[in-house]
Amino acid sequence: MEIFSSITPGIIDAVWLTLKLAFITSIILLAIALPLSWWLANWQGRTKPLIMSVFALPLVLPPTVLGFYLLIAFSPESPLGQLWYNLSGNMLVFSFEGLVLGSVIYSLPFALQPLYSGFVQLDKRYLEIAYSLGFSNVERFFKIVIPLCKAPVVAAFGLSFAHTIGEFGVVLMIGGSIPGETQVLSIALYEQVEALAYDQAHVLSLLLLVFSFILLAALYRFNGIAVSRSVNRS
Amino acid sequence: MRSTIRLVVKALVICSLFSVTLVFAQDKQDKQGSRNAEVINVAVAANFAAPLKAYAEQFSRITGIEVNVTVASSGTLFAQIQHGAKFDVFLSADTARPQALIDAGKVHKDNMYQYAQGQLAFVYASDISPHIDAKPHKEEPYKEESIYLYKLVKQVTTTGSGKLAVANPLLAPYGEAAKNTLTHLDIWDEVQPSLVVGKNILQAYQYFTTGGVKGAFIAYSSVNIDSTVNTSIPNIHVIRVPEAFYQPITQALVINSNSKAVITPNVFNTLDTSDTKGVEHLTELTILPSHLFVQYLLSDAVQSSLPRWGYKRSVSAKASNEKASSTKSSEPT
Repeated sequence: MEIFSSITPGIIDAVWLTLKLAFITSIILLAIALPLSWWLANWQGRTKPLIMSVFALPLVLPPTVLGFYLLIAFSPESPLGQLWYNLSGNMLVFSFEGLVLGSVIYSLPFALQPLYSGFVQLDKRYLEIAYSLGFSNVERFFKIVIPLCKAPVVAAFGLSFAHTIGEFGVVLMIGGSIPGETQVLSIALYEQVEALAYDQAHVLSLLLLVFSFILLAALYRFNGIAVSRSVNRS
Repeated sequence: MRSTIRLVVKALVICSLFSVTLVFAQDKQDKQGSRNAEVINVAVAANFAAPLKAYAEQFSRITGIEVNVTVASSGTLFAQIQHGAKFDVFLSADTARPQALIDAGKVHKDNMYQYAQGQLAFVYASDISPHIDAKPHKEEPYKEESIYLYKLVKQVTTTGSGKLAVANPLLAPYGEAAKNTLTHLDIWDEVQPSLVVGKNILQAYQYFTTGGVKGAFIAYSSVNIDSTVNTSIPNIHVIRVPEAFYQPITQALVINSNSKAVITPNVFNTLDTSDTKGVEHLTELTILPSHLFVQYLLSDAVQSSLPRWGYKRSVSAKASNEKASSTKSSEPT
């Protein structure tokens, strides 16, 4: 039990903050990615490869580089940062809201990919039948598409959640390591490693690993195919 | 669609073939150019990277010894060395990590040298202006500076974002110095809600230059001191924090070896580096390249140029000469 003595209130704060960030980010990502991927899956424009590439770009940019540009964009001197300041009275950079926005951008491909492949593989005959029965577009989406694509939806949520938990580079750049506000688990872990507090770092890493393992194992257990497909793809 | 993909794949293949050819050509050239050259690997803390690279270049020109420089944070480099990274010399931003390597038995206890003293600076945006018209008292040193800095910090924490950037006091010596200073001003507890913490001094500076904060405690070496050293950023004000406000930021290096290094006498202090005979003389020496490099860093020429980079010399001119004139009292064990 000795290892647990190194779990301080600061660490519990960091764990709670990380879970909150991952949960809110994943909910927002689902709200964005569901309509977006449905539109992408049913649209065959000439510029589709370009649009798809734009949404996959967060996979390519190194997180610290992405974070650097977000730092510039979120600063009170940029139009976005200024707009946010005028609307909310708070700063976007060095705030929890800023982290959520950064994480949504950073994890977008992880929500988009499983949903997109799920929607592409969906048998369109169900929709045609529903149409002939007089279902509206919205009804068709929520009563036919979502129940049939339960696996990709769960995968999208789980992957964005897991990806946000492991997020480091972006938060490092735009967070400012404020305890209880922007000091997430990965940042606390990094600071302990740098401060040569290896014992504490080991405990934290173990927590992070066990938690992520359980999460991923649950995901694979419930819908192995959808997850493994999208992981391979990204 | 398919033809586009084919085209892209073709282009990629051609590009990669081309780059492979380039790499081989480069490799061949390197081997021919430096057949007998010796190479040393030097790890340096991020804050001293720019001066070290310049010094390493000069050193290579004088001695013909090639220097590979690796830049990372002191903590990262420490962990790497502790687990067997083959760096010949490690320049830390503090004295704690070199000491920890000695305590861990990785480095001989006499292989640690102080090479520079860091200085703390406070930068603030041009729209911050405490109205101060009093002149410094001679009787009470730093009283005016205290008031001035206090007002600046107060102004920063109440203007715009109200945030103030420092490096993490637990990780970075400059962060600790910033904490010392704010404690000295009796404002440390008060500014807690306003603090944003960078992992190191460069990140604290980045928070400032990207406009996120109006003021930051950083290394004096990271701001524009000499126009040839750094590119200037418009609309910033820099003040040097009086050294009485914080614990000295002593930067130390280690020669990463279990056996004792031979550093004295310092051959560079008696050497006219513009004289080619001196260079020939150096190549005849039997000193290990890494030891020679440390001698160079501790030499009077390098030490006296440190202020240009925003550091204070850690080896005084006198000590440096003494080292040069002392006889070979230390033999390798």
